[in-house]
Amino acid sequence: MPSPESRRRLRAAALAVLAAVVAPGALVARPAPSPAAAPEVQEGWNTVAGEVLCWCGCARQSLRDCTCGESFDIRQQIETRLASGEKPEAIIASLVNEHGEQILVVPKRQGFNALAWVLPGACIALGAAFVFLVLRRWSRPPAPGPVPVPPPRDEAAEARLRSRLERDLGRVDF
Amino acid sequence: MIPFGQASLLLAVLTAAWALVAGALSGSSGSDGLFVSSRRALFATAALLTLGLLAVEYALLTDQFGVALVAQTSHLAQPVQYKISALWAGQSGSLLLWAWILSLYAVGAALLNRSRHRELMPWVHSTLGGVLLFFTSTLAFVTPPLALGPPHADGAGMNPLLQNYWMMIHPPTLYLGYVGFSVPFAFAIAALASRRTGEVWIRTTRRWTIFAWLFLGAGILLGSYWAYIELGWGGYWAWDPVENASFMPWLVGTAFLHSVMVQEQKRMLKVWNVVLIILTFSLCIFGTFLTRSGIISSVHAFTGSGLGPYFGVFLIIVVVGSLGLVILRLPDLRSDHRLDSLVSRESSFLLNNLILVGIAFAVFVLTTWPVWSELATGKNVTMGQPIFNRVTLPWFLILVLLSGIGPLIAWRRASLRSLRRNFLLPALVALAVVLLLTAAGVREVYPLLFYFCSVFVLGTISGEFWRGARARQATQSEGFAMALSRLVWRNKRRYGGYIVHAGVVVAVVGIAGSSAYRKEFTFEQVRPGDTLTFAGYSLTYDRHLIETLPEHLRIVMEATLFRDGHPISVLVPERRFYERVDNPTTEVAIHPNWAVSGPADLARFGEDIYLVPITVDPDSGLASFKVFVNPFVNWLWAGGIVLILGSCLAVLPDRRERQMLQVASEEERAVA
Repeated sequence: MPSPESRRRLRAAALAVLAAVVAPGALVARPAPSPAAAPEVQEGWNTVAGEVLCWCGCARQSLRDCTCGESFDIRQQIETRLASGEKPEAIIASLVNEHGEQILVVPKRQGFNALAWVLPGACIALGAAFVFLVLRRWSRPPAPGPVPVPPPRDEAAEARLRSRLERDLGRVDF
Repeated sequence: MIPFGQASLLLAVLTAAWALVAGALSGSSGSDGLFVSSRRALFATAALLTLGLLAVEYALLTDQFGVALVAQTSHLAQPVQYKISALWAGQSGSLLLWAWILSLYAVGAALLNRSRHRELMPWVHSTLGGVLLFFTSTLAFVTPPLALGPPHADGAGMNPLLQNYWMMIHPPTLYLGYVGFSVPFAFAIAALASRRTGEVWIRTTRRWTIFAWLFLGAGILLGSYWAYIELGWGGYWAWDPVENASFMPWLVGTAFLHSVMVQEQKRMLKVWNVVLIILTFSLCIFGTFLTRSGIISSVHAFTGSGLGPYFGVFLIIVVVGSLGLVILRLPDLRSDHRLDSLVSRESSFLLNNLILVGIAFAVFVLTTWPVWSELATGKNVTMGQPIFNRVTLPWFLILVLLSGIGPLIAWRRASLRSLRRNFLLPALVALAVVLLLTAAGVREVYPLLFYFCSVFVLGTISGEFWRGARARQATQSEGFAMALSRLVWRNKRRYGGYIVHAGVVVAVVGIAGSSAYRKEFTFEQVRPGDTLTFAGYSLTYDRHLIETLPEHLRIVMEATLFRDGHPISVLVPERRFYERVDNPTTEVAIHPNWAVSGPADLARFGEDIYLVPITVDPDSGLASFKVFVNPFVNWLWAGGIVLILGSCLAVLPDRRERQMLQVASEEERAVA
């Protein structure tokens, strides 16, 4: 266990971290748009924050969904820009311009990246068609050959087999 | 102790190399001496790796910060249990754990089969020796776990997020799964090399495969649970590249477990089965490559490792070498593919295989898409959750449906009568449930479809248990409970499989419910004494406390949760501030609800109230919170436990299995 002196030092250091990193934000930063914001600002905020990634690295969440404290500044900026009349699409475009397309939760469905939306499903569907054709081929009856002539009936052997079958079935443990 | 450990790890390279060479020489020449020698080389590798691992643990427990791994992942005040688990918190230590587990698997496979499968075993030794050679070489020459660094008085310590009991057991569990697939892979390679491509290798490795599959699944589940309680975003699965890396081999391994049954019953799909296990093992290596190469960013990845090229080359050797051997042995793998009907268990298993492999392919494409996008357009992109959900969800739905249909359709040909007997009643009950849900106001299409499939599958499985027990009652004069337990015990594989399917369905209910109906509430500027109301609950923020602990300072917030005016729980979330970590961490508080007051309240059974503190002022306690109400989420964990229990039952020894293996061995010897 650390001494009371070292514990005091740790507490002082941690409180200093708190004061420097968190406390200033605690009173002003908000994880969501202000409840007093105009409906169109709230709607626009949800659009932008839903499409833009939080870069805290926690679990690749959108700005709207992430519960970390790292993106407070950008959340606040978005609200301010929306309140000043900027359109959500313009804000998203400027963020992409600034940080690159990787700032979006998912790439836009255009150009090469549109393939990502359709390629996997198309491949599975093609695979399904292939499996269906294979199964149909395997389930075709074999080409008819000469009809085999059945051997003459051996009633004694049949009786023996039948009694053995019944005996074995009686032993079956379901 | 440290030089001793370093020497052990170097010697392990030599013994693993000898296992590879002696096994291959014995396999091609039939030499008994080399065969025994290759087995002993595997034992020696395991012993040397054990010594190496003990040396690293000794360095961690005795705070030898001159060892780079210890300096990076531990520190003086770190609790003992986290000093032990610091082994797998670092790059080199986690590789050592991987290699050590692999060596134990190799010893197990060699010992259990020491007097069986004489033609296969030298190649099994050789293959496992080859895989061990890669890992021991990496440990000896690229990332030595006992490498010395500059001397430090204290270490940096383990990331606080990893200091969690679930994170202590999650990596070893996951590795037991990843590494476990090496054994069926080694047997498949042995079957190809020795040209014994019948059913022996399949029957011998069935339990090894279930064991690996079970641990990989349990590891994924533990990882999800850790993410849920530790990362604080209210979810458990983010389609992160590292999560996907473990999910892909699990999916393909599941396909393999199903398709081997077709080979056992009908002697079909020999090529497909070999390819599936090669793919499963390759995806295990690919997962390690993904985690350590840094080609795709992930919160879970080991950063700046430089191991990527080595794993990349090893992966290429595994894929090209194994598939080359398959092509070489195609004449031996030929089998008579004949189906009596399109409506048969064989067909449904093939469809199940297609979808499982298809989903794994989709996850692979989307996970690696940033690389392809950068190559094609020069721009990096992020693949977040929405695209994964959108692309995979319809296929998961079909898969759930098939899990109820496949096991109950007859082999060869299903009659209309049997289809009606097995499926009509469950389908009607499922339809009735969907109509009830619709009448209750549920309108979302996917949840309704998932609930239809879930009820249908549970119905078909229950029907199978019911009919089996009744048949036994009729012939054995037993009570229902006794008949049911004996039925299950005497058919462990079959009924274990049904229980696994039931577990999957219960988990699906949890996933569908918690994804579609999650509610989220944000509360700002909350002062101690304030009461928040949401989703039929109220929460009073009682007080905040600041505590200084040896490792960190924490602000604890106490809040009382009420339901219908009655206190039901005290929630105590925290914000923690570590001197050695830049950002504070969050400890969420969760209240699982198991109380149901009436039929209208049923949808709340198993829901979580999940409280996340976002900001807090240390002086006044003024705080902002997020509250998630996650319906059905505990069904996911419960389903996972059922799945594990079912797998445990299926993996138990079975008299009939042994008999079938003996028959297959005799047949193969006769053919040879």
